[in-house]
Amino acid sequence: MQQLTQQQQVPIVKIEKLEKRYGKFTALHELNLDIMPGSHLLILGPNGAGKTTLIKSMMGILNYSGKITINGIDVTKDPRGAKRNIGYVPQNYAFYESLTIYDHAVLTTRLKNLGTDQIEEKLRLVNLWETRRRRVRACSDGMKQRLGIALAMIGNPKVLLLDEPTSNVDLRGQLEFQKLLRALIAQGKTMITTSHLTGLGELATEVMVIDHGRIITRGPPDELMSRLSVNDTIFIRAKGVIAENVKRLTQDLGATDIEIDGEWLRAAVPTKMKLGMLKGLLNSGIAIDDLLVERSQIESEYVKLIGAGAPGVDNVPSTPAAKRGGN
Amino acid sequence: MAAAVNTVDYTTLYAVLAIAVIFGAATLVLATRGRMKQMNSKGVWGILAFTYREAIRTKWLIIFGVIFFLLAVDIPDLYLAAAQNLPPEYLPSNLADLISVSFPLIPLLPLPLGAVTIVDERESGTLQYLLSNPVTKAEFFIGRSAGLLLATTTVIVLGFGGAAAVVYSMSLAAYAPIVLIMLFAGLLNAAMLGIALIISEFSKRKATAMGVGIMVWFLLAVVSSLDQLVITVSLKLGAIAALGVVLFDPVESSRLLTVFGAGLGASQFTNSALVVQFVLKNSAFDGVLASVLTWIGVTFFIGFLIFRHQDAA
Repeated sequence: MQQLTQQQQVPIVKIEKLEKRYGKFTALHELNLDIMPGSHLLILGPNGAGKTTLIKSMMGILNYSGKITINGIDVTKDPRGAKRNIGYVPQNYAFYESLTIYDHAVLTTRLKNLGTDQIEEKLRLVNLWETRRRRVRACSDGMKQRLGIALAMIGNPKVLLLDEPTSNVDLRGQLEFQKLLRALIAQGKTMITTSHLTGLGELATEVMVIDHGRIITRGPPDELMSRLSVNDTIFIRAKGVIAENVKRLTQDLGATDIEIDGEWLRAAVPTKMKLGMLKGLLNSGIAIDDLLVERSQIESEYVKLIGAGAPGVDNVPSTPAAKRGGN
Repeated sequence: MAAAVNTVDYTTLYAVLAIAVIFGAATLVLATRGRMKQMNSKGVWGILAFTYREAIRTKWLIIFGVIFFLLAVDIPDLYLAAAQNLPPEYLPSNLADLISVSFPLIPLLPLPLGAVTIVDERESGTLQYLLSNPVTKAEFFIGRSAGLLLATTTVIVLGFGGAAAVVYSMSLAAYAPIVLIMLFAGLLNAAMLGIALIISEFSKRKATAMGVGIMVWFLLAVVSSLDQLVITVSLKLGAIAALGVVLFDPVESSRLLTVFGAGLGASQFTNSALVVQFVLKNSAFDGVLASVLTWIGVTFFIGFLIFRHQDAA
């Protein structure tokens, strides 16, 4: 047990002074990052923030200065060894159009120096086994996304890098992907996901906001949300005079931006005050027909962080990794 | 002229030959960082097999196979062969014609194909997919180069070999020069592929790479045919200058390599062949072989160094 704890405290991904330049443009500024085994890091940031560059550097696809180790293996010194520990799902699913799903799986097993015995399991995991003879040119974006995940999973890598995994798929595909992601998290996989706006915040154990190649902030989603003074949205259905009473009451209880739209009243409530407000409403004796609470998501709030964290002001908070001495 | 010939130290030619071999070995050692045992041979084989399969299917290669076959068959001679009325000096004459006509065309096979290979992968994003697996850039480069080399060489072998089977079936001994022609054509093909890979690495767009590849072929074809004129002019500067012109042209060097190697008579020699033989005497074959091998070694070596230092995406 003690051994396990010690093992968990060693970062599976360690990035030290990572810098990437494209000519005179610096895409990543001396980034330091530790990722612990079993965690799911969600990297948020606008387009051009450096998310994909960071992921590609970790894959050894880009040349960089600094040091990246995956499971203790230096990506520059032993790219083959480091990549054995990583499964990568790229932003744009680039496959060979003339090859079938199965051909891709066979090619991937060869590239990973493995036998073909894992193919069926991985393709079944993403529901592609029945359509394995289909050429990639005839596959939907959702199928390509699932193929990307299946190929990344071949060889059972310890770390999965998912670069904008839901950017090309429809809502159904996104929901299916979230389901798959939950299953992978349950398996204890370490995952690093980049996104500019998705619904993946709830699945992350840690969120990192990046902009202009610098880390703006990092921490567990709840911690970041409370630090941001994020407001949740409360919807209350009440009729006529009652609605006016509810409006006054919610105002007294600390709600802001109150609007009445037909039968519905909408108000912004600080997350910390949400429970108190609900209790106040129930105790007031006002007859409320319906009530909905929409929790604010970190993805929709990271814009505030980008606005607050100007380049050079690296207000990286203490993180669970830092508390354990990892960062 | 005679004085110039005497200044040639033949040992330098062997040194050039050795350098070509060292370049090849250095590329392999550098590519694998001396860790051949750790090499992902299955991954390399996977890339090689996939590249071969995709390349051999391209219409470009199939058309070329047919062209080489038709050039090698030489239809009028086919009638004479059928009538058993071939002239006594038929074979050397036919082969000399074949070499003159087909060799300037050979670069047109690997240049466009090789010029688009890396830029296309980069443009479509498949290079990312391949390199996201436990395959190093060196292993990718080896697998891709070998796959393309094998595919283009197959076309040459099938084109010339198929024609040989049709035309020269009356004599087994006649196959020997054809095999040598295929071998030396394969060397020219390799040198051109090395140039094509460098073009591909520097290109930003597939269409640009294709255009540059065809332009390089045009230059080589024109340079090759201008050689004869240049040599005539260069002879006034000295035989060594003329020799330099020939050896600096990979197409002409390969053509001469085939002329010397296939043992064609002096009657088939062009100006450049006469110059090389006059200057290098008995080492003429070694000289042009060294030139072609150097072209292969240097282009692949430079190609690998560039690829290693480039971002894959």
